[in-house]
Amino acid sequence: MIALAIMMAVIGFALIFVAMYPAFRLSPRWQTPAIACGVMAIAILVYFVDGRPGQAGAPYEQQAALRLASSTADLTPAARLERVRDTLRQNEDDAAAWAELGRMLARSERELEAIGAFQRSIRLELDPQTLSDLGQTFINLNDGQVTPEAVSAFEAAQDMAPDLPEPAFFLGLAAYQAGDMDQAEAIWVGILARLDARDPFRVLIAQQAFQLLSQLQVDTAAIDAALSSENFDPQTRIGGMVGRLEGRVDEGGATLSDWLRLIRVYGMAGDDDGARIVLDRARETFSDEAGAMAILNLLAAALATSEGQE
Amino acid sequence: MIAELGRFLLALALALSVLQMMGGWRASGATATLAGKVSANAAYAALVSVVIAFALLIVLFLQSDFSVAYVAGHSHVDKPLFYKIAAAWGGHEGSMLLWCSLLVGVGAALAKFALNHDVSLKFRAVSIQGGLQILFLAFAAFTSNPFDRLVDIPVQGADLNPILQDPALAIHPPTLYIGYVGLSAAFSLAVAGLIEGRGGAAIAAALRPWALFAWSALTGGIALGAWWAYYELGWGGWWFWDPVENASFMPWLIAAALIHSAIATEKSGNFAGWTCFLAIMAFSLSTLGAFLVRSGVLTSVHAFALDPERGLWILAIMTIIAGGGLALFALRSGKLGSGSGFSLSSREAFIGANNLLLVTVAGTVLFGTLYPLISGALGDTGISVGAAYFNFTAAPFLAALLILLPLAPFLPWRKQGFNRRLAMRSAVWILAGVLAGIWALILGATPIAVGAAAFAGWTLAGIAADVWHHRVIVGMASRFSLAGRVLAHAGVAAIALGAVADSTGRPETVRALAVGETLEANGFMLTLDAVQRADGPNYLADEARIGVTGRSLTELRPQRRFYTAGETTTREVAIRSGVGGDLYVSLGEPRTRDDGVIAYEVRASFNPMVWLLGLGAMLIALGGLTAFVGNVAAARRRQ
Repeated sequence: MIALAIMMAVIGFALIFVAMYPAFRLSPRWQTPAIACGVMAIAILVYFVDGRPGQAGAPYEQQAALRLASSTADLTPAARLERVRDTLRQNEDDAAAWAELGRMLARSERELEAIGAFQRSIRLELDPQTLSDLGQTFINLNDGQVTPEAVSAFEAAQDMAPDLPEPAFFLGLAAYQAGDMDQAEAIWVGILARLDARDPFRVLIAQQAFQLLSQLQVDTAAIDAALSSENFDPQTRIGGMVGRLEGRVDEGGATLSDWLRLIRVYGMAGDDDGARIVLDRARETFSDEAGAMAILNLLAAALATSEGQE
Repeated sequence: MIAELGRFLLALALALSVLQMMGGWRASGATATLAGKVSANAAYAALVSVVIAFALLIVLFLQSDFSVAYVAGHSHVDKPLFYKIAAAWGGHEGSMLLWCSLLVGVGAALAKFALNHDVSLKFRAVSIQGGLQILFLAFAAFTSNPFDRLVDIPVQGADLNPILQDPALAIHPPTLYIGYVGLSAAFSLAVAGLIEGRGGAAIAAALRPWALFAWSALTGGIALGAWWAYYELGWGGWWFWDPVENASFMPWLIAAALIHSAIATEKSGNFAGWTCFLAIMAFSLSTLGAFLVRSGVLTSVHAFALDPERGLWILAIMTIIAGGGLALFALRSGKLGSGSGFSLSSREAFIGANNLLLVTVAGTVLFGTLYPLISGALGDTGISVGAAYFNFTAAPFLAALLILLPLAPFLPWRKQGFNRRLAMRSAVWILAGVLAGIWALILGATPIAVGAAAFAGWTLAGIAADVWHHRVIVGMASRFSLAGRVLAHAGVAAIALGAVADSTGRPETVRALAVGETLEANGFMLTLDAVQRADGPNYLADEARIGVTGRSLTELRPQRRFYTAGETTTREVAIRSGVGGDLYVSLGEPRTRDDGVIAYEVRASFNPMVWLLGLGAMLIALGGLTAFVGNVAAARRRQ
């Protein structure tokens, strides 16, 4: 503040002196200095209307240095994001920082920027996790649709790290969205079999796989036709569907998806005992398939929990 | 500390302007030469002060100091250096500081160069200019200070509006402001002349070079703005009769009238009062422009401040300037002299007609621009006045101007001059007009455009005859004056022809193109060869590579940019310019078509002979500057 005051005084009086110089021969002799002081007084008064002499400047370089010196916990999310950008401004070839920036942006739902950041990272260093994150950002940007770009990213990630859970899950999801249930089931069961039992993704993938594979495959045209029929009876139709599923299960030609659907139908109908019986039979059938068992065990645990609550 | 020093220097410039005004006023008395020197030195010191303040603002932008509210609102660390500098005048507060810097610069220029043979009038004008400086510097210091600080410093800046991140728009405001603010010199000299009771001829001679320079800059600024709108806004138009465009066009029209009127006043003393009135109105309309752009009372694509409170301040300043100037004019115009009179077919008569037409056009534009405001005040909200009104009301008067324009240089001052010889000569020009009309017909122009082309052809032939007739003119100043007149008049005709050609352009072709697909537009085959990423420092971009076959082989690369800080998307068009016109291509949003293929919206149009508009504007600006040089040279010789 003292430095500012000195500078203001030096510059101010210098310019006023230049302006008033021709008048210094005026008499009475006090007149010119008085006018000069008056001009300076006007300038200072105008300055102090909203001036903040005590507030220091905050150039970017200085702020960036402060952010880098701070611990992450002390920073706001925006400051954390900016800190990663600061790192990149110093070294734009830092692949890890680009990937981190991409993740932060993706979490803030700024997908376009996140994709740009992931792509920069991948151009510098191919990394399966970054490829997978890129694929997921493509999916988020496209309202959950696994686009061809996302599939390319996941395939590249899986080639590099076959046991990475996310690419496999989303490749399964791509197959599922394309209507290829068998392929989706195979991929999910495959990755669940490969994942360590303590891997947190194992439960998540098993949950999602159950949710999606147990979805009843609805033929909308057939439903429309049935609804328009005079003899339409929903109970009869559900009964028929359950009957067809049970038939396939009893004949031994059922896929895991068929088993899961049957369990779900019983659950939806409120027949938890029936669901448990089918689940036990399924666990017997798939006892030597680790991936399928991951889903069925999860289901068994869920049913046991709901039984305990009852 | 830089921001605080900048704030202090702005305040110091205000204080020095007070000294300039008071010293200048005192110096107007015959004996007070000391006060005149103080006033002039105060003007120079104020200029140094405000220029350093502006330089400090640029330093704050270069440092990305987001503790300064204006920097935080208009910059971003990743913005390219050029636009960091340009952002210093890209928003309301910074542009106001630029306005003030130029205003103080005009004050210093008046003190240095104006009327060294008439010190009393000079310092009266310097004093009036000091008063204008006080009004605008106070406005900047108290309501629009670009050095205002933030307590909660944002992590990152909000960035400059992406459509302003463009080379033309970086240069456009300073050029335009030189024009707006340059007219303040004509205002100050006219008001000083009225106060001093000088004759009209003296005032006209004093203000003409300033008006010429300001008008040339205003032409350049308007042309840059139109050029920017043409390629940046993405739909190929160059003039939209937008309130902000009108705000610059009105002072341009009045300044054009002023330049012509001042010539007549200087030559024969006629139109003395009218010249002073135009000088007052030209700067008042510049201030009106500032009010319209900054107050938020009218909606515009490039109004950059929407603050009624600041608008009230500018309205008050405008009232002081226009009200004070016109009140003084009413009281003192009797002292200007009435001139020596003139015949109805003299040059004065034609200049008078030119002035009436220009002022009428300015009046219709003013009415159309303010009508939504007036109707809003009367309770009818949501009314806007479109291009149809402006084209319909302005076109007949501008056509009449084109008819009169080539005749005036052949007429004598005061005396009757429309004789048989001139009638025969102008009959030949009709042939050129007919040929231009046929050219427009072949292009497929509308009847109005055919008429405009005919008038432009007539004008060009008249200008050629003007050059031939006056080829023996002697004296450097006279040659500059002739060259200025010819260039500016030719520019007007070129703009008329350009507008005619542009009106014949066909509607744009719009198609969703997948890579490898082709569209046909005006005889060109455009193939989307690829779409690739072309990210910049502060934006993400898709860039299309579009191969063009047809009249010649070329590749165009339009972009679609997403500016991340402001989350704004812009289209960067690609233009292939040729003598026949511009092939204009823009890239739109990608869409997944029903067949599952990703396709990009591609818009293509052919804008015939747009270059004529640019050429016209350049000729007008160059003509103004040439006449300015001639005028200054003549004034020096007289001294």
